[in-house]
Amino acid sequence: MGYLKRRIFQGMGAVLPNSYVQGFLTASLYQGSLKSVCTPLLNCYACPSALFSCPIGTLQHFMVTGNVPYYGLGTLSVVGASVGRMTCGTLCPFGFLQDLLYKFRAWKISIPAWTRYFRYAVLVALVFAIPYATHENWFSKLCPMGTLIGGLPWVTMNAGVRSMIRALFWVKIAILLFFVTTSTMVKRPFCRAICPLGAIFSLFNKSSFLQLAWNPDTCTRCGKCQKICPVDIRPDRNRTNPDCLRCLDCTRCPSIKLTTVFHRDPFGATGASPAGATGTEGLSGAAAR
Amino acid sequence: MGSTDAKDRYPVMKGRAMAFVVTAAAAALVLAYGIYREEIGEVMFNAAML
Repeated sequence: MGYLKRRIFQGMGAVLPNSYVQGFLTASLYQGSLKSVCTPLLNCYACPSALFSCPIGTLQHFMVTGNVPYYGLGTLSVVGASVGRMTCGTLCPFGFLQDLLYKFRAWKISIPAWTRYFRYAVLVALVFAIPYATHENWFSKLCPMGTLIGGLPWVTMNAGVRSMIRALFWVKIAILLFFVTTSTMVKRPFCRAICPLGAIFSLFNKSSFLQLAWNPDTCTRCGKCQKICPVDIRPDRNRTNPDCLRCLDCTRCPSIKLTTVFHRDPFGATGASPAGATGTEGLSGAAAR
Repeated sequence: MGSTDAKDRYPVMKGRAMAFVVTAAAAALVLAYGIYREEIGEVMFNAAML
């Protein structure tokens, strides 16, 4: 997928699920039938312009009420089984924000791969166990996306909500500022270390319908795919890495392409690359971005 | 690095295809059971009445 095309998809992922503009004008929530659909994105349903339900908020709601969230888990499983983490890479608005923030000129650092295990801990603790035990939606209370598009607009628009501000609100603001700041230095820190939705989708990366294929015959192991990867991984070493967002930025290299689980030989039996490509041409300009 | 047969180059794809079929069927069953339990209404009510 081209750089511009992914940005357009991400822009649509940010705008379309939040296109109930009337919510901002009348300080009200959309209450139509679309709210019964869980978006496969981290998109707060308390945002005045939100058209769909937040999947993580839905899972927590069922845990709070002591029920198994079959509908929410089923929706996310169907999406995960189809495309893996592709919605994280191509549609998620909070991922889009982190991608844009990383463009700022700042000190760049990388985080170790083991930080991915935090997101599974967040999923188990803050989405399932603690809400079940305390009857409170603890992830939603702390979610930086909720603060950004839910909490801040309501505090700005509504004096009643403003009067209810307590210490927890400032904790939420601090969490949001932390991720905004770290996103300028680290590639997608929230997606890699915290996001429970990404944790669910990453479980499907190995068995999803869409897969990445790598051609060892044409790959020069130059590592440019890692430079342009939004989560700093090398698809030539592990094509089903649970961190992989399936953003398809690396498929600009002719040695990596999108395929399906049913395609046994995506590069052809000989593994020949098109027109003598060595595998790095498509990434030269991209790495500089 | 010489070329080899597709069978040798992508030995895990057959297993992945079976894993996908099992995963997709299980996911569809969980979703169908959620719809059967009429959870959609509760999801809509929860999201609309925050």
